[in-house]
Amino acid sequence: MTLFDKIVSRELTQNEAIDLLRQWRENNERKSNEIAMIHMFYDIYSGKISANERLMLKEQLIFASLDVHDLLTEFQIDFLLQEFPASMRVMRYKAMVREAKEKYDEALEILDYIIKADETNAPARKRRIAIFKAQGQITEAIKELVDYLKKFMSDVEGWQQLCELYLSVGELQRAVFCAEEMLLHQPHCHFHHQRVADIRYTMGGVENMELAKSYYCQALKLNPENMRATLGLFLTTTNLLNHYKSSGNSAKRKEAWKLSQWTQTKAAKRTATKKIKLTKMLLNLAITE
Amino acid sequence: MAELLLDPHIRFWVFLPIVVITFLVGIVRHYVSIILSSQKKIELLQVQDSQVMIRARLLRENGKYLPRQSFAMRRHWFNNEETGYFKVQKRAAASQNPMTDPGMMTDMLKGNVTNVLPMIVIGGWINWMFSGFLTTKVPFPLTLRFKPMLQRGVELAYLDASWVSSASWYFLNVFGLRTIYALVLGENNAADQSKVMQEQMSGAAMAMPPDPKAAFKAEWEALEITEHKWALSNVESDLLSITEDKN
Amino acid sequence: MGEITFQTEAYAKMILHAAKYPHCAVNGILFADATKIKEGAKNQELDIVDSYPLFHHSHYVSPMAEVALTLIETMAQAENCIVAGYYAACENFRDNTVDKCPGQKIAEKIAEYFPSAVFIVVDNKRIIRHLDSPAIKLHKYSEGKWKLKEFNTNQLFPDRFFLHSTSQLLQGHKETELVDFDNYLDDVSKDWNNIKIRTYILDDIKSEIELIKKNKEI
Repeated sequence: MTLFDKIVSRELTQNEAIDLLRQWRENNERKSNEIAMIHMFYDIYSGKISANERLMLKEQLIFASLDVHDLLTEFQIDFLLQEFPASMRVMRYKAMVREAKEKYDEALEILDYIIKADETNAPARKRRIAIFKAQGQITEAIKELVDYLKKFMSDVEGWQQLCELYLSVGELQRAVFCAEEMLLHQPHCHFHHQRVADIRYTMGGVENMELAKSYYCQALKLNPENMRATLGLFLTTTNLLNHYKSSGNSAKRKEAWKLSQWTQTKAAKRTATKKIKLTKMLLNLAITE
Repeated sequence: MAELLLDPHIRFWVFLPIVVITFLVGIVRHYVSIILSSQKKIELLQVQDSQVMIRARLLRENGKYLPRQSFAMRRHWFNNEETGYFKVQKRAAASQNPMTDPGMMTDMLKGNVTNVLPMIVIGGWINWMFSGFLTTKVPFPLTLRFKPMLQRGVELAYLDASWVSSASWYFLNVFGLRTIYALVLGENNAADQSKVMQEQMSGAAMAMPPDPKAAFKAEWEALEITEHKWALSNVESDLLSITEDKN
Repeated sequence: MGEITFQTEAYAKMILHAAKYPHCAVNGILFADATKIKEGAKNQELDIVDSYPLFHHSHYVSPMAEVALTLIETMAQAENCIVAGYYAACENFRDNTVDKCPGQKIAEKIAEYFPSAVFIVVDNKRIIRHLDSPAIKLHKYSEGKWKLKEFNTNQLFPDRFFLHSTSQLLQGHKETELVDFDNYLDDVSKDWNNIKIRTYILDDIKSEIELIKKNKEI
């Protein structure tokens, strides 16, 4: 039974629904369809929630509604504006409604006004970048984002977005710089190590391959269940073995060979019972001694 | 000296009232300060500087996860003599003098009104109202040095230092009820006297200490001496040995 | 010559993949029936029987794409199919051209091995829960470029219930049950073959046929 079926059939209790909403809020998950549906079927605000949480739920609903293009949410925003007349945050919601209606110029006007009134308002600046991205103006978006990051250089979300933008335009060197920034901020997250490794692998070249190998190993140390790192490590070692064969660097070759064998056994163990046989595939890719 | 017996009325009419008064005044102070507190306007430059400091610190702490070249590139961006952030950015040394900075003046005034003034007023009132009383006795013996502290308003040379007068009891309460406030009002409440005093001493604003120049210099030095030790140099063998151990 | 047919299962999985991640670019591979392929012929007749959803993120880094493609080759051989096409949906709602799609390199690689390959671009604007058109654009590879080809819906889709079945799936929010390669990498216990979706489609076709039979009887 999917979550939607559970919501419609009311198998989900109101408290469970509130918990789900809280969980999605804390993990910053984009479950807009689900959120809109929950609010449609449950009267969330009658549940056991504090005044603070009520406002956070309202904000979550506004974002979700705009995402699923339910523009009736504009009335909700107007109510909030009555409650908090001078609030920059509510004004930002109004800008987002314009954004959803694709009235980008009006949205930019409102955002510019907010930024002028409070230069340190980071979310408004980020919305501007989102508008450029929505319009397909990727170079503008990159420029704005770089500018933004010059001022707010510890914003991990910003670095992540910039990394993706650089990747989409093929600037791998700069993308890896952004990925390294994320690593600086969260060095114990296996996903960041794996991402740096992915980009280095894509860049190619022996030096990058060796760095990719180290980062995949680190990702696996932090999370041995990371399948992408396992497979990535296999690919890098295969690649390096190819290179070492010709360059005759035997110590490195031995190490790479050991790692390659290790990843094969690991991948095989995890998919041994499944129809899709990764081992067979790996053998296809592997270099035999 | 002989054991002193206190009138049991003291318990109800002096001891407890002082505790109750201190507690209630603290709570009132908390709410008053919330009403009076003004939004400190933070400058963009302050935010930028604080974020730069965070990034520099992270570079020092976690730079070992970056390849040598990446680390060097970033350090160069911060520290380079001609173009480095810490060298190029000029900041006017923020004046500590409250006379010239009106914002700081009002903040100081508000701080004084909400914290120091009530303490003095109520302390004085208690001293006047409950003068000449011995309120309580601390359960452990103390040296004579504690006498002036614990026996405000009661000048008896013979009296055991363990006895506490009402005024001193009030001051003991002011500091002692901190934890109770934390339970009742939650952390970070304005009734917390000691925090206020601490803040006045360190003088650190939320965004940046008033003197970014000194902070920049300190960070510059710290970055200069940081050595880059590539943390992933042995990761391959580490990984293999971990799994070998498991097997 | 050059006839292309699209089976419902392949089409539905494609649309479901796009619907599951409306805020991401998605891509995947198309399989054609190998028994109908004539060796060495240009402009093959294609019967696209299945599709395998690949990614909804990390489109521009290559390691998992390489893994996926090698795996796909092995699977295609096992099922007596060939890799005959590539589909993609763009991240931006308004983009629906080949050059805005991710994974161009993958598509070109496929065309290298199989010159009659097709490139399907999913048209974001036309996907609704009550589909009234196929919502795709068909391209064929010629002279180093992907050229748009017009198609006749009835000819391309031999199964007359294809829109109905897919719409039913969308209305039932069954896209949440679709498993793409990214989902598989996150949890290898998930079924990348998406047998469930096939069962749903077959059930839907069955019930439609029964409904028509009943109506005929009345």
